Amino acid sequence: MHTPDTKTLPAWRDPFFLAILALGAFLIFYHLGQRPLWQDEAETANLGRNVLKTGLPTVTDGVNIVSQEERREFGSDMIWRWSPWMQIYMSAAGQMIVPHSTFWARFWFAVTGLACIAATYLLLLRRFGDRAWACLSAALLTLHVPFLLYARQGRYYSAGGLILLFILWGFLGDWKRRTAPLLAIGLGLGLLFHANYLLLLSLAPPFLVAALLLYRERMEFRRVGLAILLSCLLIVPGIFLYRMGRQSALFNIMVVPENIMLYFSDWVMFMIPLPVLAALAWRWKEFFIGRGGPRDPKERFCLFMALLMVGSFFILAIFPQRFHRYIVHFYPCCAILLAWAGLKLWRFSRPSGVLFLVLVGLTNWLHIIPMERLKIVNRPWENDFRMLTSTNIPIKLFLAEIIRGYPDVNIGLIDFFLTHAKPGQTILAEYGDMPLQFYTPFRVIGGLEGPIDPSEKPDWVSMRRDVRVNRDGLLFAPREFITNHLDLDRDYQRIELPTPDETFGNRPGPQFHAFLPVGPPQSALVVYMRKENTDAR
Amino acid sequence: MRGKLDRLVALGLFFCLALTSYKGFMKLPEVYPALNPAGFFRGLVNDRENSLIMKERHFDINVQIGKALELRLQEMKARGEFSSGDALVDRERAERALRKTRARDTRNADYVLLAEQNLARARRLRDEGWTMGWSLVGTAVCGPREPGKAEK
Repeated sequence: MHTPDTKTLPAWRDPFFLAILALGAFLIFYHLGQRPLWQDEAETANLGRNVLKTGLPTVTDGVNIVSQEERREFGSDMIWRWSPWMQIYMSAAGQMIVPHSTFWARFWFAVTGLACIAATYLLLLRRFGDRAWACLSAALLTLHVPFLLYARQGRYYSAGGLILLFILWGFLGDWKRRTAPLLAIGLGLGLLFHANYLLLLSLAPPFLVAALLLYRERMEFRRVGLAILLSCLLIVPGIFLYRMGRQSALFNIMVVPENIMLYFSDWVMFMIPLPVLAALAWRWKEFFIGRGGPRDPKERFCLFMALLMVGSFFILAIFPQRFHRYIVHFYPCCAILLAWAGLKLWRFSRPSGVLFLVLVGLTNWLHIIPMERLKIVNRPWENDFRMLTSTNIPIKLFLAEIIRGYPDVNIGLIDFFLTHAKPGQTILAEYGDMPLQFYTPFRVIGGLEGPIDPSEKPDWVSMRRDVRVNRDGLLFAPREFITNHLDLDRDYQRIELPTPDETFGNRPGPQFHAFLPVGPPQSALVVYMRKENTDAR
Repeated sequence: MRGKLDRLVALGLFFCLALTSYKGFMKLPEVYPALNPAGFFRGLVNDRENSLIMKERHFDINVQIGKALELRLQEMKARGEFSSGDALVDRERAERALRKTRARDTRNADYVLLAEQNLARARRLRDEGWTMGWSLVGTAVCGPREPGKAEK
């Protein structure tokens, strides 16, 4: 591996690095608590709040139940078993500082996002001694809006990226002889499992294969075994703790081809543009026909990361739940790869290098336009042209959102119930039940938590425009309950709120995230108030 | 010879990147509706019309599937058929399929509504001669704040 250049300026005295870090801190922390936690973030935050009471991620606080999988996430002990706990404890650590605060529920995750930028720089500086590459990679990551969206979420996403960088730091070091790099690999793999085990399951096999293909001379199986053993110390308890087998019932072979297509489509649309991948595939053709990888250690590392991503996509496709969030930990790798390509191009043709870096750093044009020309459109039909799925300047959209604010659907509901509902009342929410549980003191039922007791008489009903069906293709319980057990016209008063009834709120997925309100006509949020409450007012 | 080829490749590469830059810039919502409003809004409205037609057809097809399932169930009930081991479709499965179809009907109706709103919005933007503009500040649509704290 490359020996670090000891003559280089220390990172903390590099003005470019400090400027990038300051910009990253602004983009990640500015108005971090502006938009409320959306459904998935609030799920984690609710569990985190329960941790502060009991020390364990219990699914109930005595009033509400945290569930979005029709109560598959827990057993009779009422302890969360559906996903790893690291993010829950991270959320709890933030809430310990200021309870009920959006900013603090997201704080530690945002710190890991900022740390990703620093770690990207440090990885390249320490392992390759290339300051230009380090600065450029960190800068591209800082300006990459999908990364920023995920870094501002109160969930594991950027922590996954940070752990991956930690593993790569260990792998590129002298882990055959030294303890610290070996520990970084072993503990990193273990931590990745606890961030989200899908990240580990999809990363570990391609990591091993790519290492054997590209760094065979550096592989020593006794040390590999030691790293695996170390990681198992963290992983094995988790296997029992999270009851991983429970989700295997969701496996569905029919969705695998579509998943593969969609992961690759996400890759080219939001991470590495298709022309860059095509150029790299051509450049690395010798490797693909079995004549060995590139000799230059930097290029070899880029190929290694590309193989990691491709391998991970194939493994992730096996799992029925396909979300962009499962590949978010690769954003730093993509920035490193694009920066390397930009610098190569700069050395070949300076005007092209500059143009390329401007295109990938400040626009999404190289991602979108070739896809449109090839008639490959990865754009949900309901999208707006002011989103990342259309030709735009992403950082401008992002700045507009954090500076102007956004009429978030969850703010509308939270404010309404805080103003109008009374202590002890029950809200039946079709969706958005998790944010309501987090921000309001009321009993909140419904959402995606499964069957509702037919004897329930909710004081309030929050009915949403969007119709959701469960894994069996049937309507979720709240819609069934409202249709079959409530007479809204007779027993409830319909109230229209001024906020538009958008589907999710602050969902970070680049296909879904709206930076600017689309404007009318949009269905208004509708709440139903039980008429007995009207009389009592 | 090699130098010439390199120069040619560099030139071609620069041309491709410059073309992408030009195309991207011209397609920006800040630029396209300002420079070529007719083209921009024709494309936008046409996209939304296509989406609406597609969603209406999805809705129609599913409704017809539901009607076919209802008919089949009526026949089964009339014949007194319940579950049988060798039947391709039994009553329980048909009832379940009907429930799923009705769930899809409800969802498809929402999609049609959303597509109608998207089309109406595109027409409104066209009628207003909308462009996105370059300002980052603009009118605050909702003051940045922590939810539930400002309006109590």
